[in-house]
Amino acid sequence: MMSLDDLPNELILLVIQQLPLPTLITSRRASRRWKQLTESAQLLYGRKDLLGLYFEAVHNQAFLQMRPALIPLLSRFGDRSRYLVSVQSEVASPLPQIFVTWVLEWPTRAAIGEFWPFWYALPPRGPDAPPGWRVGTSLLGARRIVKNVILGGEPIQDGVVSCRQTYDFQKEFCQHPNRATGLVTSFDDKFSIEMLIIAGHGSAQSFVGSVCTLTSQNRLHVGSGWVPFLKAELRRQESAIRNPSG
Amino acid sequence: MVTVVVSDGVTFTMEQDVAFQCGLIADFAGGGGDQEEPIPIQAVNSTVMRKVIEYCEHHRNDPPQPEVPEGTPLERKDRRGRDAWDKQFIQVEQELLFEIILAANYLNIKPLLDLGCSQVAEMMKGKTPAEIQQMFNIVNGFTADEEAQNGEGEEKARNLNS
Repeated sequence: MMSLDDLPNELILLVIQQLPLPTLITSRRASRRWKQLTESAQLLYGRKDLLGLYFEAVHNQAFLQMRPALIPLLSRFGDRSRYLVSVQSEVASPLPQIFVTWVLEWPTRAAIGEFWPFWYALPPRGPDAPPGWRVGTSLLGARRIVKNVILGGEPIQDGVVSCRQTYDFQKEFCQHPNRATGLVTSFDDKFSIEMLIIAGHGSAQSFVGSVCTLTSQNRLHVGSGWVPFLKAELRRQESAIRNPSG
Repeated sequence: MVTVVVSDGVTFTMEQDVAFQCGLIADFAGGGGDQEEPIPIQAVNSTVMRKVIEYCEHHRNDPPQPEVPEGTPLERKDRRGRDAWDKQFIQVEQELLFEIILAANYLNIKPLLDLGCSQVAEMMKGKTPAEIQQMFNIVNGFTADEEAQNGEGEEKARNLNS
């Protein structure tokens, strides 16, 4: 009788390309051959990066330590597609692919830090906060804020550019040739805002998909992509737990 | 009309727009007129060929798949969506499913190949590694050491994967 094992590698690879992230994670353990093929497969929609992020997360002590406090607060059945539709409705161009795949396929229980749209309740602040929790508030979720910024005329130097913040009611800015729209991921006590750029026009086009920091001095610092950003967050949590004072 | 003869000696005659969805047959017939001799298709038996023809007949009026130039990012490659008919069509016994996948690959019918592979993927969703092994009767092939490692390091991974 013919079995899945009888398919040649190139056809198994086609099956692997169709697997969503949670199935990619589990199916690697079904067989040695499957695991090796998953590692060499050309995965679609940024799943290779997300798979790498997942394994980095589950081997990170801080990440594991935070789970007991966080898991009860995560809503397992958030409507992922509806969330994407509502974010998409803010901009005309397609959302960054890696962000779309992350929202649709990332396992809820593996939410990294506060960066997850589907909180049932956000973790407590102050002394009761889980170890390694950063100061700030996640705005990816229900109280989502989309922020528009207009870049200044000067060229970008060392990844920093001057800009103006705008508000949604300022319609005249919505047509500005050099503008970026970001999904606010967090802000800190120094009034700097971190956001994932989901659309960009003119000189802001190249920022799409990266996490930028907007300072209170109206400087926009262009950062890394979404997956490197979350990896950096994992490392930040780990060092915060190791050296609580620093 | 195009006639093919499959591995168990059965011949099938079909119209050109049905047959030419198989890249292999289109190449073989070279776009010319009616074939005198049936085209031999040794790698496919009549049970599987019947399913393949059913698929090609249903999709005979579909617009051709757009050509994707080399080097196009995979994300951009259009794939034909599964409609209700496709989903019903591909609900078959595992063995036949794998044979359809092999035949689609051999005959070069890209949308049918995609459909078959996505059906296997669909069957794997939400299953544990043990359930996948059992469902597809696959040999895990891990050494005792690797098995121990899997059990230890990835126990955590599994618990968080939902």
